[in-house]
Amino acid sequence: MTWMHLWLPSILMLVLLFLQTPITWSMAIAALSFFLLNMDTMPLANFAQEMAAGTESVSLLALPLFVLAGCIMNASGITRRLMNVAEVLVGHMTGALAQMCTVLGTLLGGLTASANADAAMLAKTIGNQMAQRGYSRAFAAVITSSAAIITALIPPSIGLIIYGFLSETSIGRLFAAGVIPGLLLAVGLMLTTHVVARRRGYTAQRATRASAGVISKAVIDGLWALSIPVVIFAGTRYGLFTTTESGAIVVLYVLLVAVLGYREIRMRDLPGVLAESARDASAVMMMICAASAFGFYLTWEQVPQSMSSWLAGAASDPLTMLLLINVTLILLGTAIEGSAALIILTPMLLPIIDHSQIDKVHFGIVMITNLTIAGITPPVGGLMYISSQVLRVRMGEYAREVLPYLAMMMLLLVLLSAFPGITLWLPDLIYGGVAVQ
Amino acid sequence: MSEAVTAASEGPLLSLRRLDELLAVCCLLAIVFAIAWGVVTRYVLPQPASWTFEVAVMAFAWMVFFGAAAGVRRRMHADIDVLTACFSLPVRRVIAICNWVLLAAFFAAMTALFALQAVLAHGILTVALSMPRSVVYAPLAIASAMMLLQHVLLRPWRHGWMVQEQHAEVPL
Repeated sequence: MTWMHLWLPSILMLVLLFLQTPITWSMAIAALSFFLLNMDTMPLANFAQEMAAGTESVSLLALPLFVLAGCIMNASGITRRLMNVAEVLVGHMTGALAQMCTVLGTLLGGLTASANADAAMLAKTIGNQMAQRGYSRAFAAVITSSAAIITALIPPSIGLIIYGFLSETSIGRLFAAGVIPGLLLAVGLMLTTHVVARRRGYTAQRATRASAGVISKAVIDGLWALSIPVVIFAGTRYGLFTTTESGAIVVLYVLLVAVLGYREIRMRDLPGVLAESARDASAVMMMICAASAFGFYLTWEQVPQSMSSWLAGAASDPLTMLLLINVTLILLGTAIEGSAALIILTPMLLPIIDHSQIDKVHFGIVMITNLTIAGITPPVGGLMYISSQVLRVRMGEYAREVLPYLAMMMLLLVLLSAFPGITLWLPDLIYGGVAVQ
Repeated sequence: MSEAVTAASEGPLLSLRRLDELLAVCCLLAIVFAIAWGVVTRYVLPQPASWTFEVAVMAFAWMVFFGAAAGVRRRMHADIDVLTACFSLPVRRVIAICNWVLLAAFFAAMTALFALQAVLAHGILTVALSMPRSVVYAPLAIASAMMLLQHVLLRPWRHGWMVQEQHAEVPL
């Protein structure tokens, strides 16, 4: 094994990444370079086999299904109904529109799987309303992108499915583990918004709290959609179907609700919805295929093991190790897009996690939270780009407004890292020791 | 990040230009049907259908690769422009040309390697359906060829290699 065999693919990937080659193809080309270097010991066609291996996972099948369910929901008028629920719940609070945005983000998190899709949806709907009602555009961009982070934690979530596949961890347990951190993030966002809104004089939407009758009416109107997480947990908990199968069940369920229940989706909208789902799921999945081929090189050359022994010397106890990884992820997250970082780094970090005896479900939630927070940190933040583009905000303005929210999220990250019980209590309660794929 | 082409400018899904997307959509529907059918047969029929996951996984691979071809056409694959944004216009143009040539060569290599893999895997049968594994890889070779075609059809030289003047502060 020469120096070139060990490091050339990694260096090539980094060079290509920073020369603006798409992330997916940077990884795939780097992986191909490894197979070219080792042509004498393994057939070149193995590269094709390793690329395709990324799709040969039953657990990853859940990804396109939950993306499709989310797209159908978005096209079926569900957001308007959930906005009503949010309005009756928090419309009386200071900075009501911003608070509604957080509540809507939390509710959408239980329906859709993509934080990017939710950031776009929130910015287009509630973000524009905020700008019209006198909120600063940059503040609206910050709150819409921050609220979308909740989607990455509340099940179903693309990030959790990908992490579950890469780390061979139960996706059912990961889904359950994300709920409390997701809700804590929502509470943190609302408290931060309250402080900012009071200082700036952002007003309430309604003079008094909504009555119980009004709240019940709004909740009943959105009940079909709000019951989706219950369908997933109940179905998997009682062994009716696996998490992957729950994806197909949810697709059929939301299709029935959209066509027969809410009746706002038209047949001619369906091809567009299907195409959007297939494209979005393919873009993420192709990255996983490239990572699968690149992962073969990492495993072959034992790169994660080398990193693990190096990092193990730097920190002895699990908490210090987690904090060290968190700092590394935060720094990397400012330069690399979240899902790419997740796909590249998970296989590298797993031996370290195993060595430090950190629970993989706990680590998954910490890692997803960390990398999704990176979505709102300049200069490379996917959620920041989406919200700012819709609301026409400059990066400098965004960077100033996002600071209090970032401080709150860093505090949450430290809490999640220090207290594994926050993440592990619910999966232990629902599934006990059973692993649910 | 590259700017994605809007759906409105692309025409209907049932068109030759969007054949890759149409195939990806068909595969997506096959996944939904196969998995749902697997659940239904488990509770309704005495013998659950054994082929459902195999069909779903196969359709999944095809969907990803045909969808990725559509992604090439719509420039959906994310990139990082932090470093290149610091370079002058001529340097960025050179980088864009190198990237285009590199990707064209990569898509051609991927087509050849999937075609080779399809030939090599012909003698291996799938577990449930007893079909040659070539059935899995041959469509991936076709999808890779479609990626190459879509990449060439982008013809970035018509728009000065899609390199634009950067502002001091990036307008988002």
